Amino acid sequence: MNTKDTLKAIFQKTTNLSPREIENYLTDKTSAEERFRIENQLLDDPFAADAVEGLSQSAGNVPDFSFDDFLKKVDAAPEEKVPTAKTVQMPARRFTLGRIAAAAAIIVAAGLGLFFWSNNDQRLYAQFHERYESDALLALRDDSSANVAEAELIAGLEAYDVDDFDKCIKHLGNFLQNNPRSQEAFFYTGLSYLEKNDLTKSLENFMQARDLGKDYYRESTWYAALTYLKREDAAATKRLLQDLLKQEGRYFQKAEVLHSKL
Amino acid sequence: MRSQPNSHNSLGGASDEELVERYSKHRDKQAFGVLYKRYAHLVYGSALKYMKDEETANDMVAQVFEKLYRKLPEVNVQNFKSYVYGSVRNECIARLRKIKSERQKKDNYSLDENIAGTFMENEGMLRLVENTESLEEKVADAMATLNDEQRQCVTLFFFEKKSYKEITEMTPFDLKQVKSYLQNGKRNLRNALEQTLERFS
Repeated sequence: MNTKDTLKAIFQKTTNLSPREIENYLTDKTSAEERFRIENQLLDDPFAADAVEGLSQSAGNVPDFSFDDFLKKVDAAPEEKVPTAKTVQMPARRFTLGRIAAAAAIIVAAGLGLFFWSNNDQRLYAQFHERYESDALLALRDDSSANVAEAELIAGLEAYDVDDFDKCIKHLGNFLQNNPRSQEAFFYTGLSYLEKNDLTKSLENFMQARDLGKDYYRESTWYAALTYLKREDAAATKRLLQDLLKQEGRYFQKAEVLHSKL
Repeated sequence: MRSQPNSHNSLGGASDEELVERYSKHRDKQAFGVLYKRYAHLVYGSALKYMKDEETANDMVAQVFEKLYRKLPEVNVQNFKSYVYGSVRNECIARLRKIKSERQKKDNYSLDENIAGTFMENEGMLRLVENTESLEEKVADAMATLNDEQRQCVTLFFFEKKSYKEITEMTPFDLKQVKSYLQNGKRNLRNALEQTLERFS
């Protein structure tokens, strides 16, 4: 095989692995060529890689997922219904002093609410900020090679997992002393500072994570954008969102919506 | 993503995007059925990896597809595969958190398509390879950018066609390490080659 053909085989187009292909692979019933194709695909396709790893627990056995059975169940289950004006019977209303007082209280409360939420950037931040959820910790715990060297990283992620952000920063700081290029550690440190409302340090860490490579680039960019939003720096927020919008992928849709609102 | 050629369904050759569009616009159950057949086993396997329980993994398949069945027409899905993958992972993580009872589970199900970046697309790279001559030196230069562990695993896997398992037997690395070195090595190789080949194309 010449170099061009070798490269074509390495960067092959991915397809969905069928249940049969996975079962054959897991029970060593594939040819060497087929095994290479599948294992190569697993490097590019995390969904298939997770599925193969899971199915290895059952030697590739997959239950028969009948679509007809699925339809029967799902069509039989009542869909959540939103009451409409036609179906809701409203009781007759009478204006009593108590009701007028309650209405006045609501108006005052709404006015106060509007006052505190009048800043558009802060409102958008509250709307778009979600706690970052990740399976990094699950993967590390599951990873037999995650040994002593990664103990500080695991301790940091565990602390993040239970919202102990000071502890998370401390452990990840220790980890970074020996692993100064860990995007993951910088990213989670940034998240912790963001939760602690230390926006300057949060940005420093997100930017470090961005500069170090692709692994946490989009995540760091998104959360750095949110940090700028919290600092009410719409111009910087937009710049980072535009970066996310250059190509589809992680956070593209959210970035698109947020950008349109700025 | 095209389906397997042996699909019995007349829509079996349609792309995910076409099927999603048919279902979203016309509530075409046959189109949804093809997506179900295409991905149910991957959802099951992924759920089994995280939950380590067949019954729970079965439940996950029903849960994930029921949500898709109801919500798909309302959301703008760019890449169905990564959307489904994100869904099953979110569900598993939420359920594991619930099991741990460390924190109350968020009650709003987050179905964001935020993991598309982890899937590698090779079409651009294949075009570059096709249009470039004298690749040997460029490949050697790209290989030189890898660290020792990555280079060793990449050489054994891609150039000597050894399996993951054979590589664990030939090196001091365990299976997880081999996969990790290959994954990162392939990504770095792609990045280095892309930069070089784009200059020559």
